[in-house]
Amino acid sequence: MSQKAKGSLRWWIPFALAIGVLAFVMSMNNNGADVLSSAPVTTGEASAAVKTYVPPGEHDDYYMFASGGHSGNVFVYGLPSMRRIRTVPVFTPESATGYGFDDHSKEMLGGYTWGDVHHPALSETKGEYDGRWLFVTDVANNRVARVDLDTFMTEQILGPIPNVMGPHCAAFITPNSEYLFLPTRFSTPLPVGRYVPLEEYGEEYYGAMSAIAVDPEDGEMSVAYQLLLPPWQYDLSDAGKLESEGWAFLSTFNSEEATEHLEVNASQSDRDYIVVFNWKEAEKAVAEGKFSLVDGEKMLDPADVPGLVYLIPVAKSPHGVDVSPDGRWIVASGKLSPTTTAYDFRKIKEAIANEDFEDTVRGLPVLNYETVRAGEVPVGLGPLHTQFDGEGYAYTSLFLESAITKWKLGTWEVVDKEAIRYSVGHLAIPGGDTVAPKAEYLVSLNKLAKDSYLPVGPSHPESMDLIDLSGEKMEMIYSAPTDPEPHYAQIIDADKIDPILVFPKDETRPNSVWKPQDARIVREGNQVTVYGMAVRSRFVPDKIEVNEGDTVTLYITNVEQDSDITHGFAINLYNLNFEIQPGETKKMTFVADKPGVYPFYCSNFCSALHQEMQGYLLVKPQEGGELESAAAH
Amino acid sequence: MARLLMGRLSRRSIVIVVAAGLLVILSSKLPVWGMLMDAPQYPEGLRVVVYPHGVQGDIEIINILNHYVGMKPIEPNDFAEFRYVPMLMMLLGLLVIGSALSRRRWSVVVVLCLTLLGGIAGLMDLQGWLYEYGHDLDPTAPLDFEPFTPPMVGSNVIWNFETVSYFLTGTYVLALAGLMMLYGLLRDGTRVRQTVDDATPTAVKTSRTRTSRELAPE
Repeated sequence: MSQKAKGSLRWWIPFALAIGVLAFVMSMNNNGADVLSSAPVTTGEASAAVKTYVPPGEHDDYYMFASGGHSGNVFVYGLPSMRRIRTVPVFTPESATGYGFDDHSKEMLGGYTWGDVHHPALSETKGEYDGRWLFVTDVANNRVARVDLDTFMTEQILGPIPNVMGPHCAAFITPNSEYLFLPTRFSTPLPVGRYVPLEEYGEEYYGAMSAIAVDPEDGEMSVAYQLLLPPWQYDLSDAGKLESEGWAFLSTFNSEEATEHLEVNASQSDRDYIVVFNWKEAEKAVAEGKFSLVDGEKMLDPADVPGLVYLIPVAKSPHGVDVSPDGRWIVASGKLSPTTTAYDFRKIKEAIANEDFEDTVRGLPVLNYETVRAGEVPVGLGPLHTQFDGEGYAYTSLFLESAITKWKLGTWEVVDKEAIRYSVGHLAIPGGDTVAPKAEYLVSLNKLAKDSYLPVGPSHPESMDLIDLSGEKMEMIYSAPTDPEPHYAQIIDADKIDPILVFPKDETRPNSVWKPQDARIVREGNQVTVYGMAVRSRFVPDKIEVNEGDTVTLYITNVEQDSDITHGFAINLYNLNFEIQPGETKKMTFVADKPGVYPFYCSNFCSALHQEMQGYLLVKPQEGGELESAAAH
Repeated sequence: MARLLMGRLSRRSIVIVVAAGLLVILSSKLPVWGMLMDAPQYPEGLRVVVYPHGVQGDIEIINILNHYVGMKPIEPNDFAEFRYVPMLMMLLGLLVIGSALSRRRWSVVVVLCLTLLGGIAGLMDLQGWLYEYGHDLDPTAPLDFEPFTPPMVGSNVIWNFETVSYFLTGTYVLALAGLMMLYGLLRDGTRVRQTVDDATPTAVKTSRTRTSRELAPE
């Protein structure tokens, strides 16, 4: 009896245990959820929230200009709130503003419908951001653009620039905005368009760097000269400053000169190079006529002009190369290495003066690594880029380790590390690449967002982490998503930028109309020109009659002088739209190739009677027109 | 009253009335009246600032907004006043100075009256324009609106706009000039009366004061 009872007890014990454990686990989970949802905000979180809180109606302290990567645009953020304020269309048409629709922007885009914006460069005076212009390059189509910061509009696109293929290494700007340099990522036969098989890569392919002169008055860019470099990949760059002013530094990989399977074949040598380039000497050489013309551009060959280019060995596959605010330390990181290397510019100058060369590669002297190296910093895995805080510290991003390392210049000791989400690329500190950084914030521009935000399907946003630098330790205080894909960003004091809010009324502007009685439609043959105006809440004229096949040119002036009273001009089914800012005159030309009646309307909400702001485009069919003219005869 | 018109101004009163004349000239350069329109969309407000010689402020923006209620656009060319008022004010200022230098009390009384009349005319003119703008409304305007007269001083509300009107420095300077002329006349008036009533008015008065001060316990 007792044995039977024992047996019957045994069979359910495992079940009871299993249920017990399950219940315990479930209750733990519930508790966890309860704790999460009702957790009081910790002191740390509350203080972080206060640091980034900018009350409604108040402004941020800094502008951040982030490249938009393959969106082709530039994103403008406010710091510390991390609010995205605006997107400036640069290389990609944007229907909202009509960028790429009106004649001026369409002509600038030159038929290209996208760009790959990598590294923004704010204009500088004496090594500090001056808030005049923002330059960005297009890695895809070899162009460079200027955004004027008094309007936040793209005002010039230069290119495709001859002899350049993928200016990833750009744009780095000299301390007084004398030049923007556009070194090329891909080496190709020159001029671009010439066919040479890959087998002749070593002999017939080159990487050429363009020096773009910037007009100090209006920022107008033009190609000044180019520099013929070996067929390697030029990756990132920085201009020297203060004691290294007049020089520039470029990282380069694939000194193996591989053409296929680069992830393996370009990673075979233990070291690649930092290119040290004297742009003041280059200026002289151009003036002395030591160039040849390639595709119409003045090309300097450093093998023929001694003193222009030197090489410094660096751990293999380097990425970022960054110059400290005082110009003395050149920091370069091999992206597969656990350390970053600092070079001393004073020793570089000495080595050059003493001809302390360990080798010559493709006619270019290689400086003795042991002479010029100042320190190797064990920053962590996968170091990419470095920024400076002006207080003797450097901050290096670690892609593989997903962290930012803070270390001290001169002693080369690591003092702090902060994890980020996830896999940081560039990082940005206000003025972090200038002679006067501000140790206030650091933005980590991450390549992966993963689980950071509410999920939105397989295409993830990128993530940006905001780190407070005011204390001894870095403190993560905020994270914001962004559209793909900021590479580098620059952060500038909001006080340095003072944009106009309306275009000033200018009655002498050609083709502008400021009074309803001056609006008119002029026909010359099959060219119809409309001189019109927009004002709350009407277009004048609001009836445009043309014949099928006419070329129609619209000049529309928004006569308002009231900030933020923007009018749009959209034509149904004609696939056309543009915005006209207060005080602006926009021009758009199209062929009226669809007969019929098509409304046009204000596409940017302007006023209480916005819905009434419309008109009709009447396109008379061609046959009817011919019949009528025949009847008239 | 007759006393007020007779006789000559004292030296001090000449200085006071000349200063009043300079203020009249100064006021011809100063803003005299203004209006501030506040709406949620215009956090800094929209302003009308009227000078004797013209109107300034956010006129273009206000004109565009006003067309919704059918108000006429404010066009400086519509106001003949802006052409002659500054000249009249300068002339008045010179007359005031002239009257002071002539030392004839009656002439100061005349320019004071002219100043008063000018001020009243200016106010009536302003009131007329306010009435005109508030009543000459385009019947086809999108917003149907009862004719109204914006207050010369004070506030009212039109749709999303709260409007506050007020006088500006020029008006106050002109009023001060008038008061100074009056003061210049009256203080001499007192003196005249004293001269008649008392043989040695000022000498006695000052010495008496001095004595009382001297006698006062330390």
